[in-house]
Amino acid sequence: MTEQLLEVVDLVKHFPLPRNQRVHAVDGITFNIAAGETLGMVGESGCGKTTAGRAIVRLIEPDRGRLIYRGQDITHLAGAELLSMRRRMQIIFQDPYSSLDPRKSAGQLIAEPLLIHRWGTRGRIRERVRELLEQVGLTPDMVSKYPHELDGGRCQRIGIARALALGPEFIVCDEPVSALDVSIQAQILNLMKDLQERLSLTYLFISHNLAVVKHISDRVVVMYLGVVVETAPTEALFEDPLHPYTQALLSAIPIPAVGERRSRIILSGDVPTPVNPGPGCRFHKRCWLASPVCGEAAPKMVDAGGGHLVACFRVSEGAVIQ
Amino acid sequence: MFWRRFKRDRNAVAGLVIITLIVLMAVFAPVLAPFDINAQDLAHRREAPSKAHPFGTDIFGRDILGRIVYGARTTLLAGVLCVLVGGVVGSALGLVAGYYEGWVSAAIMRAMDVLLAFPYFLLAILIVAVLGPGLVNAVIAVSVTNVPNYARVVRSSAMVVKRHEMIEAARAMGASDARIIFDHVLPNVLAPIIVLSTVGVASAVISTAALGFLGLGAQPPTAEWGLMLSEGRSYITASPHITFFPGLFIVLLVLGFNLLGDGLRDILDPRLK
Amino acid sequence: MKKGLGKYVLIRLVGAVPLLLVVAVIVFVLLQYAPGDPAELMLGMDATPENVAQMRVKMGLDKPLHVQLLRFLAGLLRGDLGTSWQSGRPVAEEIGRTLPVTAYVSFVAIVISSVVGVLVGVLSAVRQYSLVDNIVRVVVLAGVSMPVFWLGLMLIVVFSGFLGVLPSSGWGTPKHLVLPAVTLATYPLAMITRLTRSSMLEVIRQDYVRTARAKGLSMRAVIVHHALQNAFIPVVTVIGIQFGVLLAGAVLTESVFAIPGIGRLTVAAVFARDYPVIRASVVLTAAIFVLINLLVDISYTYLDPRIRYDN
Repeated sequence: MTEQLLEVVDLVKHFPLPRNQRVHAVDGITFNIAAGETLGMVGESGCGKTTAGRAIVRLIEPDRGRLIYRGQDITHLAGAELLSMRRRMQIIFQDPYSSLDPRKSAGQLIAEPLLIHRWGTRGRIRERVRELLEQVGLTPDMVSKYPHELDGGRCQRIGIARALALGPEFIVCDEPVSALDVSIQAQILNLMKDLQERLSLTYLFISHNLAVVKHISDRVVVMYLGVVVETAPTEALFEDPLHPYTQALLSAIPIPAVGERRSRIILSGDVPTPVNPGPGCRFHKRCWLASPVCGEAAPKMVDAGGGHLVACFRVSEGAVIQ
Repeated sequence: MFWRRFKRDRNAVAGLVIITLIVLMAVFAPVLAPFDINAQDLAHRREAPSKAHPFGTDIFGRDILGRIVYGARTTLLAGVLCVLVGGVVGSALGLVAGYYEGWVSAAIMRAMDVLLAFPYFLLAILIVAVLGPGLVNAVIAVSVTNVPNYARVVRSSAMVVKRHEMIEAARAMGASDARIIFDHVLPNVLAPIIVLSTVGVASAVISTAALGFLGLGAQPPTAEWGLMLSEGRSYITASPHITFFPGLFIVLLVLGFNLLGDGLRDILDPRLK
Repeated sequence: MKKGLGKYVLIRLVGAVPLLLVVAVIVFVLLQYAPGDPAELMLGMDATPENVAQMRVKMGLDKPLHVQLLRFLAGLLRGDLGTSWQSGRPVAEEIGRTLPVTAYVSFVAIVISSVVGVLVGVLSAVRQYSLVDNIVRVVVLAGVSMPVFWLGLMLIVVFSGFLGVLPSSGWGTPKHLVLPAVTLATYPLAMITRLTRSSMLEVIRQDYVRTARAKGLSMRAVIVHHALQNAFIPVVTVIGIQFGVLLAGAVLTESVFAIPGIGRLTVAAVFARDYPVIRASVVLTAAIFVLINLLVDISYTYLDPRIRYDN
């Protein structure tokens, strides 16, 4: 077994709404990320994956739960300790135009983390910026370009260079390609894979795009309304999804191969919101396999073998879902 | 890009030209008026414009043109200082109120509401009443009345900027609040501040001149345009030139800043009305 | 009556009370920091210490500060504004004498600027880029850039000095009203003209106006209809947003033309350190300011059907 880089234990984040309502954005999620792997995190928009990612890099304070990074509890780090943690843990955002300050040049943007962390002299920082530009496939003359002068792909490369600047080992990638043109997505994904190999990075790759997640991940976590419903190695998950929600999700992917057939599962029921959810399984109102017990208690995660975990009563009670 | 659009705006260019001329006049005052502007010449009181005194002489026989030239220094400095002090304090409060939510923001904005409950000129008069008449106190008073305008505008802009992902990105890098506020939020709210400041100089010039006119601002023998024109009041029908010329220059300067401000507003910040 | 408006007005009025109390406290406290002893000032240079002490008792200055403050606030809430140190008369009487004068001049000025401003603004918009429009725009710019005190003095030069048709100062006859009203009207006139012009231009460009024109309505009919419907919005906006400017104008106009209004009373009180008068006039003006803002917001609901208060 490889070394665990990060353990997320029962992480909870609720957002208050008017009239005593609460959005259960993240409602007790638990999973591990091994050093050097890419963990994909999928789910529809609003399932809490972005909140989870933000909480993991300590941009949002969780209400409960723990984050264990290489054995150290980082949930409540502050001040200088948090600052030094930020060197090891970075984040890449979805929209490069919105995450890059429009009034700074590429060089200034990439140099900023180096300046904040007093990384070195001006000369060394300039040298490092050039090195980073090259690493993400940009030419040195881009150093003086502003975000509005560059296309989305190049801007995202700047975002990646900025995240790499301090030499982190773990990067949360929050939908890093979904704002980009399809033609550019593959380039960026390959760049990220390439960088991972060269710099032995660990990724938490958040996306709603299953094809992208399948392409880049070693393992996948499926989230639904603030909870994890299934975790499995990528191949196992896509070959043999156990949770009804995962099955529905996968059935929506268009299949490129001719001759293969898969019936599409159309979900019925109200489009749910994570506001004040009831006690049962989050999915039971839309689940075509639900039994009365599903509305009464939340199913626990059970191991279906080979690192394939699922939270569904039909699996835990031994019924195999076909 | 900015300059190309600016050059096409004839009004803004005209405003800039007027302001530049008056600034040059203030800078080169000793060259343009190489004599003691406070020297009284009681034998030549209230003389109409002539070759020797193009704008005539005032009630103490002083050369009005010379005093206007030097007065440009006082008036410009006072107007710019009001905007600078009010702008810096107001923008800082607005940045803090916009960046931090919760009680800090609420406390600052309630304080601004109280200031705004005073009609601004009455507030200025009240402050001068407390501090005593004088140019410096008039500048302080007008600065205070400017603070809430900046605080409001900057706060609402800062609240918009704050929601950008770039702020989260900066926090993820480990940037301190101070760095985020000054390095990321401030540069992105500069446009409304610049527009507000330009128009603000115009109204500050009028306000300080008005206080001078009421006797609450600059005190004799300072060459300040508002005070100068009030000194001619008793002879308004007999010697209108004493009042006319200083006022004309106030109009020109205010017009210049209004023209420039309108132009900048169109170019920099079309959302501001 | 719009739904929810009554509740809205009530909430605003209730909210205004603490705001005005804070204003009153600030005014009171600020004046305590003014240099010099008002009692000494009142008696002049050669007053004996005994005289001054007696005077302080008479003026209530011997009491602790918080007692003075509470007395002042309690008086305010009862409607008792105190006694002027300078004239010895009740402040309420002084204000009752001067406020109507200011209100009268201001009202006339607002009427002039509204009527003329809307007419000129519409004319200017209809004939956009014409000679008239260009002249109007230049005059408007000059109008907002002109210090009101200088304009007043220049009007005196022309109309009482040069032409000799109107009095230069004083109060009482209709003739005395003309120059102050015109002086005070200039700034709001310029603003109303500017706002009317831009809102008319917007209306003219709109599709439904083109439709109306296509249906055969004359431009005049369209303009009159829309101008009348929309004319009050710029007027109300100017009164609301520019009240501070209008009041500053009133103070200065009264000074120029020696009109016995509340602005002149306040400035005179500042010079004389007549604290009761300063306090009362500042608090009262702030109250009027708050009230006018409320009235402006209410009138928007009638002028603009999109605004509702019941959510």
